[in-house]
Amino acid sequence: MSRATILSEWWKTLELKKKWYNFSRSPLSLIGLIISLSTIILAIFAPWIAPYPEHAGFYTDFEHANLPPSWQHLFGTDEFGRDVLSRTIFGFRYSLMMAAVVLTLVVPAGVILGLIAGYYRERWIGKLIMRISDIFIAVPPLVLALSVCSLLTPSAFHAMMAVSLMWWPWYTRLLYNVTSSIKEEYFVYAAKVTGASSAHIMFKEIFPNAMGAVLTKITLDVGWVILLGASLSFVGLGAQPPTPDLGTMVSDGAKFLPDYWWISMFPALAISYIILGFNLLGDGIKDAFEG
Amino acid sequence: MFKYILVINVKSKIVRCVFKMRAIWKYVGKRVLYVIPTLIGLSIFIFILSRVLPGDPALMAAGPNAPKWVVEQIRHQLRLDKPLWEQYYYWLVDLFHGDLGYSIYTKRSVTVDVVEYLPASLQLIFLAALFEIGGALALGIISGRYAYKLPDNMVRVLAYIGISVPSFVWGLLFQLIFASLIPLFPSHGMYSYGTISPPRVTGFSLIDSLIAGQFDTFVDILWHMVLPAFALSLGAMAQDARIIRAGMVDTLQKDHVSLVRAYGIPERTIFSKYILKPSLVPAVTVMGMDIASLLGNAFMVEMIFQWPGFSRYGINVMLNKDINGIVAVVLVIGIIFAIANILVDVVVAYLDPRIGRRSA
Amino acid sequence: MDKDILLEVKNLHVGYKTHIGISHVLKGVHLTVHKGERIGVIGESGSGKTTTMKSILRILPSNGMIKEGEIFYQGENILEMKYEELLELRRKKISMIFQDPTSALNPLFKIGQLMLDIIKHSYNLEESEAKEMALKALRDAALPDPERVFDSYPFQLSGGMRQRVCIALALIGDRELIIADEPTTNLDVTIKAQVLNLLTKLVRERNVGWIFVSQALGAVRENVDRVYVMYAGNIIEWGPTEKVFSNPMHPYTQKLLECVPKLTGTEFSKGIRGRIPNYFNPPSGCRFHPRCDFVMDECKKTFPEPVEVETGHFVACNLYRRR
Repeated sequence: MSRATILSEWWKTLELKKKWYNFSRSPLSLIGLIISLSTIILAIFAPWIAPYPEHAGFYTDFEHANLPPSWQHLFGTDEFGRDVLSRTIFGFRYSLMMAAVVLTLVVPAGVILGLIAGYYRERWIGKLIMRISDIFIAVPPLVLALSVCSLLTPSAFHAMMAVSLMWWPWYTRLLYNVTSSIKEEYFVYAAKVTGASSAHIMFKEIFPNAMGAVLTKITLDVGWVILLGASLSFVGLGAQPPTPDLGTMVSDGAKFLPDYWWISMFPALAISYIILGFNLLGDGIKDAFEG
Repeated sequence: MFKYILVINVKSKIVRCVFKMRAIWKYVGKRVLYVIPTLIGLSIFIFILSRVLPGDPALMAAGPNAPKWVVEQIRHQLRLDKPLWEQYYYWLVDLFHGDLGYSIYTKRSVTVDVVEYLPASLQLIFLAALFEIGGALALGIISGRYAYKLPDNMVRVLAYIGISVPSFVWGLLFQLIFASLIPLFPSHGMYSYGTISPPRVTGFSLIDSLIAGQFDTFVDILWHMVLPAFALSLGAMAQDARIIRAGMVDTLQKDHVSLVRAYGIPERTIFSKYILKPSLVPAVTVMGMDIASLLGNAFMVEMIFQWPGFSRYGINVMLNKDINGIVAVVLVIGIIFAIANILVDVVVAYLDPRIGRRSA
Repeated sequence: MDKDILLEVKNLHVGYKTHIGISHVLKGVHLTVHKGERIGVIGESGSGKTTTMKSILRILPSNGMIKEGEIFYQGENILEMKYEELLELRRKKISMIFQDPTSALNPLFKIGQLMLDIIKHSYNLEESEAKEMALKALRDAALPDPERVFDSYPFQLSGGMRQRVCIALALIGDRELIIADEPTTNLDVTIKAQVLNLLTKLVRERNVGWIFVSQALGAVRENVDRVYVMYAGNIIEWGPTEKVFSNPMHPYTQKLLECVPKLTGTEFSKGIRGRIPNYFNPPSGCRFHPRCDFVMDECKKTFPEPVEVETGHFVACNLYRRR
């Protein structure tokens, strides 16, 4: 069976039309969708939307430093005279990139490990995988991610790696639970009896049953990953200045509180906005899949 | 289970009580045995990572202009010149002697640092946990009681905001609003200027100030804790309120609620007894883990409010790449996390008779 | 008015609010129970039997609403009762046995805790007296070692024992009416007969009014005086048990009775084509018309007036209106 047909079969099991109907009934979900889409659009078209795109990187204009919000600079300017609004719009890029990179790394790895661990639950390989995953959830993800980041040289890239390292166990556990419960079902036996390979059973028989749960978890996780990334850079162990990362901007601006409140407060609200959007969206999708 | 029924036949209540305790202790023992390898694995992971990643800690500790022999001496002191497995072995041996190694950041034993800073953090988290539990119960119960009505919808929106706004944003906002604009609370630190810190007995400044009879200091410390503890608690509070609400809505539909209602038990009793308890059981697990997770968010909040706690110490050792400090921070938090986990399980086993005894 | 009437449900309309809309489940249900009379209610699952029973005690889930109708208990309308009166009714007059004893007993409370709570609220008794009453009820429900049951959590008992506990609860005090909502459906086959025998024995001994909701048609036929047939929120046929069972009039009743496998038969019944309608948008007129073999135009328009086909035997079907 070709990869394309497998994909289309997975797709069909999702029954997207019905789910969209469920989703669109909740106003909060729709608000979430609008917020998330707006941040994605702002991030993609940042160079064209931001009023001062050159302010995103190294740029100094001390004459216009620390200006309060005005029509020229809706969110004011920071200590180097850079437009906070422009930098915030670029900041969405880093937040979304964080989520995208982490989830593309983590989901396939976590899913495959979880399938293996669940399928070979009684064998040493399954036990080993689960034991290793235990290690990474033995501390709050932020603490371990911070330590790993500090041991590497702090940078946006290393922050993504560190968060990824902390995140795969959740997908492994999810798939492990689904797999262990489905493993004994008759359709799996049937596949085994007809001589299907283990890989076939894992990906064609078991995985489709976990698809909904995985997709739901991905959407719910976007907000968490962005939060974790912002926390890392807020502490100073993520993206380094002058990167227009929202967490970095908040912590840099915090020095100027309370007088120049706009330097940190607008990026702070932007972080909350993007996380709120994806949380609402994720919950909406979850309800749509469950209801 | 059959074993349990046999024991229950023995008509002495004491025997049964002892058995229940024994079942729970056995359960705790099992959990401890399970968690130890995990913690060892965690220590190996972070230890190896701290020694193999690029960047020379000895050089960093000595400073850029230090002569070579000084760097070598520090390297020797940190045992960085030995093979990795030997380093870990000696680290483990030291650990059993209560020594977590030498901190190149504070220039003293990490153990001393942990003892000095941990109580302040635990004290802060304790207050945050009180806020969290109180707020989550209040909001969750209101929400569940008036499910799908106005109060529920309001709590729902509030909960979304609570979950989505990072704790460090709350911290900065509170500092801006309640310390700067309206100076109700102090903006940072543990003591007001001029307050004498109580002599150290337990390390928990609140307790120490009471021991010393310095009631003013006690109030002063508490006053300094309000904003950071509240900022710390909000995310978990919102999360748990949602879980309590979901538990209640779920329980309301159950036939056992219809049954007590059908037999004429008044609504108030139904609610406070037959609905609340089953709704709280699933919430307890999450609440416990959320309280433990406050240790993570405390990193940002202690930084903002300059709270002299373990998490702020953690950030400092991390920014200074103090390898022994980092390993110790991760391990201590791992141990606290594990203890919290087991405590939560015990509470749940106590609340839910099905757990623990089935496995016993 | 007949003084013997214990319970009279009149023209009951009940719906459930859900996030997709209102589901109109009951549409004019009526039911009469005389003192000491045992009646049966039969019908497919999903036909609104449980909703009717829960309406009688006003214990519908919070999204359920009684839109229209009256439920008289000894001449008093339950739906207009004050809360205190309602509590009194639930405590002393009517009791109910639920379908699934596993979900009907709160898993976190011991049987004894639950029974004591109920007894203490119903009768102002001392702890010891209440316990004595509870143990007596457990003994009456043929539970071996009532002391142990009293001190057990539901999960420590078998399904049959749990249902006996529920029966014990229902028999506390001198009830006038016991509602048994499919009391054996969720039990193992081997236990079903035992529990049912116990229940019928107790009901006969105490001469209480009994509403026996069940899909076990044989059990209903043997144990009740009159039977009501329910379909999609309507009572479509009712009358003395033997008359309804030996001479079913409504096409639905006929099909339903055919569905019972007979020991002598060699063929399986064909079942009834179609399924219970969607209550969000139920069929107009007689709700059975989409599944009926004898459907006529007028069936789609109005719900037929019941006709008395023989003494006490009524049927609500257009087929019989012409006579």
